[in-house]
Amino acid sequence: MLNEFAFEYLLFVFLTTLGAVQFTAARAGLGGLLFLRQWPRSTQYLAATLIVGAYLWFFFLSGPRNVPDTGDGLEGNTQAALFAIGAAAAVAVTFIVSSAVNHAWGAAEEAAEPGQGPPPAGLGRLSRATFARAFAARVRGLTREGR
Amino acid sequence: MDARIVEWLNAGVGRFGPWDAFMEAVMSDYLAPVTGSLVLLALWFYGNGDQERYRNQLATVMGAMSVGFANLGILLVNNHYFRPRPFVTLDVQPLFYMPTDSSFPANTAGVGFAIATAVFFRHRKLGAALYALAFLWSFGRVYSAVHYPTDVLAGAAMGVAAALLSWGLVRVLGFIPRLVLGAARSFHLA
Repeated sequence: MLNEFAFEYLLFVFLTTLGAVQFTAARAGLGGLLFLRQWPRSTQYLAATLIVGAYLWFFFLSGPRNVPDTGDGLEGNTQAALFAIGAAAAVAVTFIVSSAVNHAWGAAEEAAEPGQGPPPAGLGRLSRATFARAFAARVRGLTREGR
Repeated sequence: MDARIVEWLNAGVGRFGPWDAFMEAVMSDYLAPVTGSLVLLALWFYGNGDQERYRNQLATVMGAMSVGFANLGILLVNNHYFRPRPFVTLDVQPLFYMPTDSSFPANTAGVGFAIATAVFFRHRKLGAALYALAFLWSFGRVYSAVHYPTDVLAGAAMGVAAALLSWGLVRVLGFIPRLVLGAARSFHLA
């Protein structure tokens, strides 16, 4: 079980990663990853606020952070593992939530281009469709190609 | 000389509360590594076009490899050489908890400078900001008498060397990251 310190660290990583991905996706024009796709500039401000808020909360407004790993502090490997879990969870939540709130986005383009092969690969595709739509189209295209 | 620098810097501890609070946050085990890792993660998604994004993702891969190599190198040195921490041998006021492992080389400097160098190869300004953070992280550890300056210099050198090694490996064995990134690209993950 996670102690309070570990849980707070996990939450800190989750929130800052969520903010970093939203901020970067808005800057890079990856609308398919945004929770507020129509407002990329506002997304950048909100994401920056989330990141700064999470840092202030974790380092200045909650418990002491300079704690040895012989106490409640985190040993290096545990810290790395919790970072990986928190970051992966934030990326997964980004993919799921952005796909849900923008579910209809990219459908018209997809219907207009019923290509035979798989659509282009890569994150760049998320500038025109959600992750779920791009992923499904890719799998369908690959399946068609395999037949 | 090493000890004198620690004593001189440490004499400032307790004189100005807000500065000490800032240093406590900066030198913590969490601020710099999380910030560096977030920058690496953000680079994964950032780029105007596939080519730029691919090069950024290579920087992310190099950053992760650099941290691994730096930690490995420091572990090897720690297994053969033990140097007591400054707070053990000097009359100082620690601002940090008292680690029991070897003071030399500084793991913090190794990790901080490894990430900064890997990012600097790709983005000069972002890399410079991370160098500044790595410097502050390391400075804080000397200020609070957790490390000697030479521990930090050795750690920084190992971090930079680890990043150079990662850069060389990615150039020589470039087909491996290309394969991994290609597989991730297939499913819009890279």
